Amino acid sequence: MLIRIYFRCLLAVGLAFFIHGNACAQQQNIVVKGVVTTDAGAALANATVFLKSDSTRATLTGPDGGYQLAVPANGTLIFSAVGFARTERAIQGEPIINASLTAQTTTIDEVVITAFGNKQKRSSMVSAVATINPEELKGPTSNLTTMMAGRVGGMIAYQRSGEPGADNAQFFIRGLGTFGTGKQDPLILIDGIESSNTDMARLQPDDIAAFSVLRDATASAVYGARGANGVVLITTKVGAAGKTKFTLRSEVTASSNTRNFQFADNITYMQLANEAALTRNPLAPLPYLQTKIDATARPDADPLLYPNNNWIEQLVKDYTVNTRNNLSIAGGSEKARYYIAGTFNVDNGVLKAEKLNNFNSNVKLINYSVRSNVDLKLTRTTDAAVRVYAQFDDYKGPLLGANGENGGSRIFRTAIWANPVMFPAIYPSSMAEFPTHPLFGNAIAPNGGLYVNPYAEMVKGYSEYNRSNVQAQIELKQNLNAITRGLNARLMSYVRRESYLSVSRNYNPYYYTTQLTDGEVTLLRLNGGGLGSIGTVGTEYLNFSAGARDVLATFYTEAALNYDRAFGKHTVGGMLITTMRNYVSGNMSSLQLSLPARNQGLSGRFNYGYDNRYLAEFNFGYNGSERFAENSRFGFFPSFGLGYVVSNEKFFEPLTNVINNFKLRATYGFVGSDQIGNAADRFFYLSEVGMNNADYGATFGELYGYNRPGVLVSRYANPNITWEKSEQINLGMDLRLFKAWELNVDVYRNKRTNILSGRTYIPTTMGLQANIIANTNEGQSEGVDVMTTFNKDFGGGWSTQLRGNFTYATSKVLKYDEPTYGSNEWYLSRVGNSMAQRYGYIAERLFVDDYEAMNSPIQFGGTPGVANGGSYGGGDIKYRDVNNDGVIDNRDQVAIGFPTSPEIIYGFGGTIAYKSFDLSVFFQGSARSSFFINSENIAPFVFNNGSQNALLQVIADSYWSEENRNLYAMWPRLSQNFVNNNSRETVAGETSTWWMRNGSFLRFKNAELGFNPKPGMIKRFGLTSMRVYLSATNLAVWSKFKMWDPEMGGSGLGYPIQGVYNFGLQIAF
Amino acid sequence: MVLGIILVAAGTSCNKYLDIVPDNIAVIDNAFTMRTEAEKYLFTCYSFLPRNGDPVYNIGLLGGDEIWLPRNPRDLDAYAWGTLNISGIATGGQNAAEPRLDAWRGWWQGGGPGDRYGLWKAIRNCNIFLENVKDLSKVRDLRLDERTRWIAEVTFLKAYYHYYLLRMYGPIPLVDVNIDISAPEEEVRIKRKPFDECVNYISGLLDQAAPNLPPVILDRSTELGRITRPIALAIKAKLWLLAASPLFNGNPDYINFKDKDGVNLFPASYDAAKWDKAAEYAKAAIDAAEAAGHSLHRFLGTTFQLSDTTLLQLSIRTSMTERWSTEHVWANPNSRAGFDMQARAMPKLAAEASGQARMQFAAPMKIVEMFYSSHGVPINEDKLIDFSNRYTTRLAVSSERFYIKEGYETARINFDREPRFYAFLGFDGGVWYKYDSPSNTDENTWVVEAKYTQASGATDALGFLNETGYFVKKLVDWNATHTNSNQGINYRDYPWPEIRLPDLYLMYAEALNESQGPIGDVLVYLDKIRTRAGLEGVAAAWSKYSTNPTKYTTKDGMRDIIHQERGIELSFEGQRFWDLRRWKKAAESINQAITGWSVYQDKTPDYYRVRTIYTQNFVSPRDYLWPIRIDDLRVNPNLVQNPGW
Repeated sequence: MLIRIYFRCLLAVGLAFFIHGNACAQQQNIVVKGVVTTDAGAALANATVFLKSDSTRATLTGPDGGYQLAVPANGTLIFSAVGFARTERAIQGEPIINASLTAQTTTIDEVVITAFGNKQKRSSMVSAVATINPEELKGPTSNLTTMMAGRVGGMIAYQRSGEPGADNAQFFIRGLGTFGTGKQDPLILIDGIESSNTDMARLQPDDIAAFSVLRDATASAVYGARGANGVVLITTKVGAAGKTKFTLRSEVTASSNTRNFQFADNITYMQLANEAALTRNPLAPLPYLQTKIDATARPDADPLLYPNNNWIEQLVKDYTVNTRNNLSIAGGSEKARYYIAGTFNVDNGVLKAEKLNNFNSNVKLINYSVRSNVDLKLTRTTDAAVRVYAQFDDYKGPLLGANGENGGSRIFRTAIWANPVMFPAIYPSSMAEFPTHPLFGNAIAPNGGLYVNPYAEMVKGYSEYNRSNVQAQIELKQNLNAITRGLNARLMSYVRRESYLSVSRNYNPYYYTTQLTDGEVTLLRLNGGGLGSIGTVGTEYLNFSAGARDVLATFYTEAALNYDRAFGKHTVGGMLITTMRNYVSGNMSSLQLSLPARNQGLSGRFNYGYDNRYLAEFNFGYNGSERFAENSRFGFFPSFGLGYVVSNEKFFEPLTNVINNFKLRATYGFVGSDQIGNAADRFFYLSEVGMNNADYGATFGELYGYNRPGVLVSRYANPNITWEKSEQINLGMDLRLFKAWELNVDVYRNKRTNILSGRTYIPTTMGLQANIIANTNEGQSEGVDVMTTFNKDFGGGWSTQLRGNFTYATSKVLKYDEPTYGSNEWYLSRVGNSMAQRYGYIAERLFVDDYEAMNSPIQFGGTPGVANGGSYGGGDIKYRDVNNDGVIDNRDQVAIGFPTSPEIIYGFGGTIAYKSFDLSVFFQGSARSSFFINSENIAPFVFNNGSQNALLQVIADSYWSEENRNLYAMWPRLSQNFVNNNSRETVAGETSTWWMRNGSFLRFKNAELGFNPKPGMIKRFGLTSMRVYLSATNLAVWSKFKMWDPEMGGSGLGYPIQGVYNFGLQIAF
Repeated sequence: MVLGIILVAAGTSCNKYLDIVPDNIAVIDNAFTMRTEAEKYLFTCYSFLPRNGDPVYNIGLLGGDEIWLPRNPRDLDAYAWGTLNISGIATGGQNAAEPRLDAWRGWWQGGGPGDRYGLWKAIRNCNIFLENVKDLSKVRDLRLDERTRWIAEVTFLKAYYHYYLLRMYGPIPLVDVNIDISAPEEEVRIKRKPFDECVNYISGLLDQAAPNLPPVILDRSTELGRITRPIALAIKAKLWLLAASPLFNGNPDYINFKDKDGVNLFPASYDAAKWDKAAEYAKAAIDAAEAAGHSLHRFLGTTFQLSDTTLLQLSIRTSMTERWSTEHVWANPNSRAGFDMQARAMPKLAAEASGQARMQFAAPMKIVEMFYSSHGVPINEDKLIDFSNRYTTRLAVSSERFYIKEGYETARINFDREPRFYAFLGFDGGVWYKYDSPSNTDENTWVVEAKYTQASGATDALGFLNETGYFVKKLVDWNATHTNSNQGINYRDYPWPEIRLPDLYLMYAEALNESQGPIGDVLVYLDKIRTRAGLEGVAAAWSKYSTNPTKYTTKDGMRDIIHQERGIELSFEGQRFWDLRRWKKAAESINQAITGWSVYQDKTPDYYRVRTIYTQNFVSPRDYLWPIRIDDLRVNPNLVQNPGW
């Protein structure tokens, strides 16, 4: 009710302005058209054209460099573009104004999008905002997030999977700023709409007008409780008045795995399987008879009787073909301009499509979207924008795994968790009398069940999901020059609906094995359902199971006042904005979670500049979140910044030919985060009591007939819990030399306080059933971001642009709620270590023999001595007894390796252009990170939930054996079972240095060769511009780690990162 | 500017925008507004009762030397015994960093899925219940008589949870009243209380509870399994028996065990009066139980034609597995011995899928030898039957066919044993009669064949096998039947008997013998159990058959007889584990090797060779008490660790 009143009151205020604005709409306007080119003569797309006196009257040039803008006849136009010098032209009534921009210039006067969609000249900014030319984000991928790493200063990014639909890169601004269970990744705003990582992934670079990353407190404080982890701001394009322009981009790509894991051959597999059995228990029955091994080794071996599979080769194609199409239509008149874009992308997986069924279980992700940005001139002083965006993902792929595992990833994982020699993928249908279904191969496993046949797992069914996101946005801008010059007001609202539904369909495969009857090979059905049937009984028809069904709704409103004016040498600006946001989810498990999530706030910015030399800025956010108790609900987040443009000083003049620009910046302030702790803990100030908990119920009665559920307190109320708070300091320097070389350096230190943590002083004897939590922990992150570019036009048609990026972000824990450790266990404290630090055991080497194991500290409560039936012994990992208490247990874990999230991300590359041709390359790297192999995933021969793990070549090449006691072999003594001593994953996910690997890598990320015919050549086809290009992504990677793509880190068994080769065509007419 | 003010005003005055939580969100007070809600809280207090009908939770069953498991006890992650990779209590893995079966924290599975029943949580819930239900202004629709009974039940549970911890840890902190969540550090760091204070406190709670508990459950259809007065009195007797026993009664090992303020936590000297109390309270419990209708169970017969031998065996077997048997003083329907317990004990008699008859529970040879001869005396004392050649083999004759298949060659030790031997154990050649006997009688019925490659042999490479050749028949209900499809077995579950009447008889006999010597009642109550087991009384049996015929006339001799009788009658229920500790005999017994037949052999002469399977290592006095988790000591520096840990 109150919202409605509030909203209504805002609308009334807004309407009042329009009426007022109409009344004084009297000035003379003309429409100016023109073409913006480089001084080499090439059309310059996406250049900004705006009225000097009112920067909100702006447009972008189309792909042909054309623009159209309604302006006062006596005004002045400013032309600017990233990487080009800004140019001013007085209009003086001219209807056509062409401009050519000089290329070897700088970003100094670029217009930067800052908080709440405000535009600010870079030269007047004091905060650390990184921008990136959207052109740079184009690559042969339909996932924008994969293009971030190494291109944006201050962003730590990495991609763990290449599966279409699940290939989003994760990114953090200035690394990890906090730890625990709260939100760590940045706030993403697309046209002011809070968006998810996936929304950003689906965004088309062609549609992006500007891309900024707010890195420090001064830039993001106005976001108050939501900006502590940094903010990514993206705005989409608007139409330009004039002739309707069509721009079409079409790409065809071939994509393949950057790296596949290598299996050992199957003869080795069987021999080592036998060794694995005997080395742990000399009495163990042999898994494979020598006759079978010999028969399989024969070149003429019958593959049906002696199966010999390489499941990766049998399931995965060499490459797959994808297409991407993006069409935009822009144009309009002075009264109404539009930018309409449509996208249709098809991404296929690399799984083999089999003709077995009429459904194809390869991954296929179709994503399409429609964007309509319409800008209206309602009165002379009133602008409106209506933006509608709808984006859809239609996915079809293999069955999803348990716990939300993606389908493609599941197939890759199944391929390595599969026995290669016990059964063929499928028998020819001629072998059955009445084959009405596929005859999948299988065999009886030692546990009496069936093996997992990865081929059957792949083809037996498919899952589908549909994700959609529809949003409508209205924005009103009212020029209030009538009240005072430079003042305007803005109102923006949007509604967003997201939905997701998924469904799976599959049949249960019938499995067969061979048997000899009267000397003839016949098939025996294993799971027919009758007597002796094993495992899940087969079906010929499909079963159905429904998956998640989520619906989310967001409503948001903001109202703002802006003021910008120059008084002689003084420039003054200000902004005041109130926001409110309401978010509900339709698929919630408890009453408390079903309640809407809300934010409300008031923010402001005040800036002052003197003579383009001295700059000052003050920002604040005053925000409330419904998660906290009333007295700690609102937080105030101030920040201020100072800038000093040294190069504009009189005394600097002699140097300006060499040092064209030299600016120093400093900011200090606070930002907050309300997305702390577990999302399920919606209201910290309320207790959560489950009144019908089955686990705590009881049953009585002769026939157990009377049962009642019990009561469980899953959260105790704590009214004092409040924001996480980030205190941020940033020092920056901008430098431009020789009119060609630009350098931006920012160093920062952020201190995060109030990090939510469980209290550890509460003993077990208190009998609490939920942790007591409080804002106790603290952390600090610091680092440096460097961005540099070099632009030079050498004349004669040669030009080059080089760029480099370097981000170093490190963190440490300052305060951690932990018990007091004794002096011999000081290393258990987390204080001083990175927020993303892993802890684990120090693996010294492998035990020489049982004797050594029995005379070393007992490890993890196991029994030493393999020969005596112990759980570990010679050839198993020997750990260091760090606290010297004679046993290896969880108190011997120390901080090992670098953090799991890289501390350094860098990228460098460049473009060389000669007349109509250009070539660009880009390299990207990551350093100072460690990752940990989950050894159970690759432990050969182990029965892993019905699957039996395959043998990787690296293990076959280097393992400890009784004959070859290599104490530093890659793999410890073989076993048919998980050896807890070696793979500590079974117990609380512990790890050791044995499985630690260096995550550093450098990859040849991108290459592109383009051809842009001169406008004259293509005019006869009716085209205004054209570009043909070949590009490639992930061409090579250099790293010490060879088993899988190092960027995937510990999740190497999943769907590999893709290398892509692409042919593209872009035309405009 | 005017507009600015409006905006600011609009932004700040709408505080209510963030007040989205409606009234009537469930809080703890809602549990005590109505009887139906309060009843859920009552059941919550019950829900923490340790689940002894599940081998994972039953500490004693697999933590000692009574049942042995295969090296890879597949699908049985019982931290009492251990797993393939982690040593449990039985396999020497107890430690202070990650204590096995950490009831203190509720981590029965080392942090696994069912680890939510920490006993201090139970006690906190009991206190919350008592605070609220004792307040007459709450739960207004709860009748006074019912209120009194509920309070008594929860008071009992509070006492029982304390008792359970006391038995494991020795002196424990006592939480009579809950400490507030916001209490400062000093207040929450409570200390362990001296042992005698703990006993008196728990005993006092039981005294409060007992009079208000019903002597017998009248509403059997909805209340059977709830706490009765005989249960409370039985626990009180167990408490005092524990306090009187050598481990806690002036144990010299603990005399110097003090807390950080120098307070002695154990009684400094032996107090014989504790035995008097133990005897008195055991007798009171027996009287209450018998008055409430409890009596030793007898099998009532079926429509099948069965021999007397089999009928006697069924009387013994069903004393454990019959649902709500008359001798079950306390059976817990919240922990029923179903598939998880019975399939682990069941040998493969026919072509069952191995997942249905996992046969992992194996009785070590020392347990097999503990059972009496057919004369009811220890096999090394029987002067008429010679067991010195007990590992040789012979063929079974026709007269033995209800115990051993006629003509089957098996070991001497399996012949001429008391009926309980055949009722509680299965072995190679042994008869395993059950309801679905193919012949519908006990002639030509199911027989265990346990040599390698035979149906019940140790053939399963992945861990469904029996390591000693002796199967625990006692835990499997005789109604278990093969189903028609998939070679499954239907097990009929039974509420786990926490206290059986013979337990009370044996407690009384033990305490009375200690307090007054082998007087009449000692023999009377032992003989009740022996009679049901088909044996002659102690006096008669020893006089006639024992090489030591006057053994029962001395206190020391009688103590041995009672201990052995207790071991046999209460075997495979998890009692031996606690009894050995209480008697301070664990170091002596447990350090004897685990032995069994050579189960990986398929020929009779090879199979019947005793092999050593494992040598347990019980460290005294360390292993008599549980370690307190090091993390708990770190968090609460006022706690002291138990000796040796």
